[in-house]
Amino acid sequence: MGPKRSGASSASSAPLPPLSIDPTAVLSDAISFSGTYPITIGANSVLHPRCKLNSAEGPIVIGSNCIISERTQLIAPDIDGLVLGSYVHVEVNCHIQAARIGDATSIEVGTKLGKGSCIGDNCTLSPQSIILDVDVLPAFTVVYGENQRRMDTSATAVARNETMLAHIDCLKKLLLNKSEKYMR
Amino acid sequence: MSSFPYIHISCPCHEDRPQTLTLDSARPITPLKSPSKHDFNFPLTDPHTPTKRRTLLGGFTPSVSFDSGNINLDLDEEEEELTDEDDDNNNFDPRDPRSAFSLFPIENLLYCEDCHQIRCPRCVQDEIVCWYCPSCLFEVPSSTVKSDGNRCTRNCYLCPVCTALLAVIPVNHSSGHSGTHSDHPTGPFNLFCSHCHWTTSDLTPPIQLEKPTSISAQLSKLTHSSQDSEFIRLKQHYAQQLGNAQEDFTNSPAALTRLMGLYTGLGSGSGGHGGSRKGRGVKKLEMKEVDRPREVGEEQELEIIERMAVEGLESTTTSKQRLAQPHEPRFLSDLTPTAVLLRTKRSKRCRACRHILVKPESKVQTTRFRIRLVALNSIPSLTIKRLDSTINWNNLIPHKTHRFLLTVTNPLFDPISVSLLTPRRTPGTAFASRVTILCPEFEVGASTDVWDDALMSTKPAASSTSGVATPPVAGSFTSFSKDPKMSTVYEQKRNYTSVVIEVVPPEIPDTRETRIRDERLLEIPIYVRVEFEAEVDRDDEEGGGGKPSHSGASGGAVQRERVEYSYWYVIGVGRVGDPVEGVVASEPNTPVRTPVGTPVKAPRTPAAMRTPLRQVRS
Repeated sequence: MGPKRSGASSASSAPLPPLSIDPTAVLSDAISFSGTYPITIGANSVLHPRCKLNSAEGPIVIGSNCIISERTQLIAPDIDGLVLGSYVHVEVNCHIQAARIGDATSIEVGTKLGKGSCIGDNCTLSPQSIILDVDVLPAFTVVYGENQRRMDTSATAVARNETMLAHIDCLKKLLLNKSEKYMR
Repeated sequence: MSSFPYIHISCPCHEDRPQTLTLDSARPITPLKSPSKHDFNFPLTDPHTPTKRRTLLGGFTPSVSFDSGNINLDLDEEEEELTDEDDDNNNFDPRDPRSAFSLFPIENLLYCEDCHQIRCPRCVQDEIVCWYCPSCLFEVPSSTVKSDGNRCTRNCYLCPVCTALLAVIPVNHSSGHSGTHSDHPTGPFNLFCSHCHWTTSDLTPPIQLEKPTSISAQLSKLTHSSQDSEFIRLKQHYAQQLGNAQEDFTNSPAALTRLMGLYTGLGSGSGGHGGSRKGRGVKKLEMKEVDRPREVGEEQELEIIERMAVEGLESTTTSKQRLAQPHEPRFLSDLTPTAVLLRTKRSKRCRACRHILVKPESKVQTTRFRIRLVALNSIPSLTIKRLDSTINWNNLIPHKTHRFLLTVTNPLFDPISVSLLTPRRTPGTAFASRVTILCPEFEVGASTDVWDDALMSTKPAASSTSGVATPPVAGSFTSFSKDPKMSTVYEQKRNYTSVVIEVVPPEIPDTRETRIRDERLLEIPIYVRVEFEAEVDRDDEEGGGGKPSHSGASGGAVQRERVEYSYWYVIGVGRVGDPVEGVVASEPNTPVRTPVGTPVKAPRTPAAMRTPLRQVRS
């Protein structure tokens, strides 16, 4: 875990890891970057304030059209790093040490993804679900209730991606874009 | 298992006799107060009560006694032993199977201002104010509930897989971009669970709705099972039969004579009721059974087993899912959306005096209450804290003296004087813990405005009376085994007072494996007696009907009156852990603490202690 507790002081103290931020991405104030491996943030992605990205063990790649919410920690598990696909929605207060998160996957509030776990495309993890270390979720898995699993056959993936785009559009209007602050 | 510490109050309703009955014998009847006024307060609706009262008064035995160690300080050892045995018989035992039903946290208790008594969920009467759907917040008239059942008949359905609320979405998501599909959703619709992404298309055969509204009507057509149709057939048949025999059951004079004839015929023993009915010429009741009752679903067992073999266990339902459904389906693909269960708003009445204690607003959307008499506003609440933060609630060390801070908070607008009484050894167990309350008698200030304290900073010192020494500095209590100040209160603020309670648990074997009862659970019963002077409106008293308000705002006939009440509180302090090396029993493990102030007075009459509230002219 990152050595710093307060995300607000990230810009002032330790040096930032090498960042490559797409110009269309929106990064709020007070995001905590730590570690030494590079962090890549794709086009049109939104990072809320006080989310924490720790690349001490490996690189972090965030795809396009992703939303990373407040107080969420993205921690690269190993040298292979943490790779998020596109249209990934990570909700508030998640603790993510996964290796891969597939496209259009929605990770709800307070979810814990164990070290090196692999989440497939179009998965949905309901609030407070826990994925164990090195666990692999196939595509279209829904984790609900008391960590029960079922297959999503609702064919709503396209609709959800559209909702994501609308969500990002809205966030872009609401959030202050401070990505230049991290570009230095 | 509840987490420690917890504090419960014993509602007196668990005692099998009406406890208010001894009130008259305890207090002198003064001409100022008419006895009828007090009779009014008693639950005299039962016609047998007067006789019961006489027998009770005749054979009355005190059922509450107190630790004499706190009271009679000069007793020698043998007598103490005796009284300890007495304690075991007479004290409130929190482990008694009977008392388990009377213990409630103060938040769950109501307070009847007419009976001056706390009311637990067992001694209030619920009355349904309205039925409503928690999802759409529409009120459902009770006639509809009777005819259509207690589920929402509008558009509210729950996911059968995960019980979240289902949403209506179009099956073919409009390939056009966002924004266009909102104005005119077309095509068939699905019910979609946004939590687990279950849709009605997952069913076999898939259910698709034509309209996004009036879902109940559409679903009832689509999810019609053979069991349902058979049930409807039977219901129709018997309703018809019942309709034919309707006049036999109604309150018509013919039905009455038929009933009477039934009994007289039986009583005379002449030929049985069939004959007597015939003789009186009353219309005969004929109930025809249904022609061919069909057993539905039984023949499918083999089919189910085969299907299980093919689809595997993953496709079967869990027991929770199965029980929530009408015909207990075995497979996930047989689950149908369940309509939302209706909920009720309820008002609560005191069972003794029929006064309303809780009355919510009848409008579904509002969460306000018109009347809400909670006990938290009327009787003092206790809280317990660790004085030493190293104490582990779940692992109390045997033979070690644990010090806790017991805080009494006063919700009333009058200052109260509190007496805490506890058996020196916790009753009801072979492994009794020693309990000592260092200052059992003290005052608690009135619950005045928060700013009063700040404005009059000298007030707390002035309010401390003869029984209570001035609150010392908190830091002086680190080592006070021989401290003369040990019988003083620990902390005294605006409307709460804290005292120290010492607990020495013994070594207790772990019985959780072998017995139901957990011997290591440490629960301390404390009898809390509260006395205060309340303003009582005398005109009100003379009227007899009005309630004695504590506000005393009306007129000049306001008089101070001494009020006292008392309850058993039970403090669940924690669990006693395994014995620790080095901490051994010392005899006596704590010196007998003698309160420096006035000792706790023994109750004069047992009746006085049994009355929850006694009003005595001062």
